[in-house]
Amino acid sequence: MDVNNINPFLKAFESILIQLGANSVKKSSLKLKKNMTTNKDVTTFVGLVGSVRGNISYSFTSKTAIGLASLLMGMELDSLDEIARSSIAELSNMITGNAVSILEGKGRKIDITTPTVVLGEDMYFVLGTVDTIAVEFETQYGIVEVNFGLEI
Amino acid sequence: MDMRLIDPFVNSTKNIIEEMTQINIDILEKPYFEDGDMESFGVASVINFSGKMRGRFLIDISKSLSNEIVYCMLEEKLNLKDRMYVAAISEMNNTITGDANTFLNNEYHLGLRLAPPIVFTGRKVVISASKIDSFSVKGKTKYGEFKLNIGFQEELK
Repeated sequence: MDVNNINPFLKAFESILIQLGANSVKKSSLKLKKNMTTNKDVTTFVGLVGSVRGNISYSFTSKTAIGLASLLMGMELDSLDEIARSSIAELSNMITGNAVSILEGKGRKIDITTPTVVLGEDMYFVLGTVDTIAVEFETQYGIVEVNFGLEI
Repeated sequence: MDMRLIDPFVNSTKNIIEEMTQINIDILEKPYFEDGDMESFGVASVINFSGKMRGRFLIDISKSLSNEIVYCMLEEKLNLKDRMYVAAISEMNNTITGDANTFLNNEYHLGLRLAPPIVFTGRKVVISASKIDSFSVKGKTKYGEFKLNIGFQEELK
């Protein structure tokens, strides 16, 4: 997996959250995983097709997801209801879309797919045929785990 | 949503699972509009695709059926968290979605391209209805049940 394809997503994550008004967003770890397991109960996926092909997932605890959904909506949400889930899907879409524009500026041609939101405990995911790179971000709402399964 | 977008996935699922595993598939009912959260039967695989339209195909399989599919494909009893187990389910979904999308691309010139399959499992898994309209179809086999969910963001012109 080419790191030049990953960096735009990391930049987009930080810049979108800061634009929305988050006051601290910081990368806290990066690791290569054979398989992706997560103890976080909310995950959204967005697919990429074109000159970069793969999937990106964003995992949060419910509490972090509600915090980020509230940030996006500009109002306090207190449960992971349909509005909150839809906001989290939209947030993943915005971050991925922003990163794709950066990559397109470098001559790549990429389409993104509709986000899917999955809830559950002790989740185990495989994002494609390649190893997954996992990056964690610390935010004031909690940790967000971003997993990349990109084929090039 | 237009049934012309749903039927190819139902047909490909039946044909490909039967061909790959010799397991007989019964499609139980007509496609119905999915308006709530979907509780997973056990093992789920999603493929997103994009072209002139954006969409998603989900196949959600009970653990007993999934185990049997993997056993038929690999002739080996594997654990759900084994890489080869997941690879078999991914490959099956890739073949189904690829086949259905080839049909749709030939028939309606949609230029759909697939993202790689995602496979997931866990406890109390719920797939949340996202912003796209989707239809589900249930099926069963003697090893367990499954469900297909097909969603497209735009209407077929």
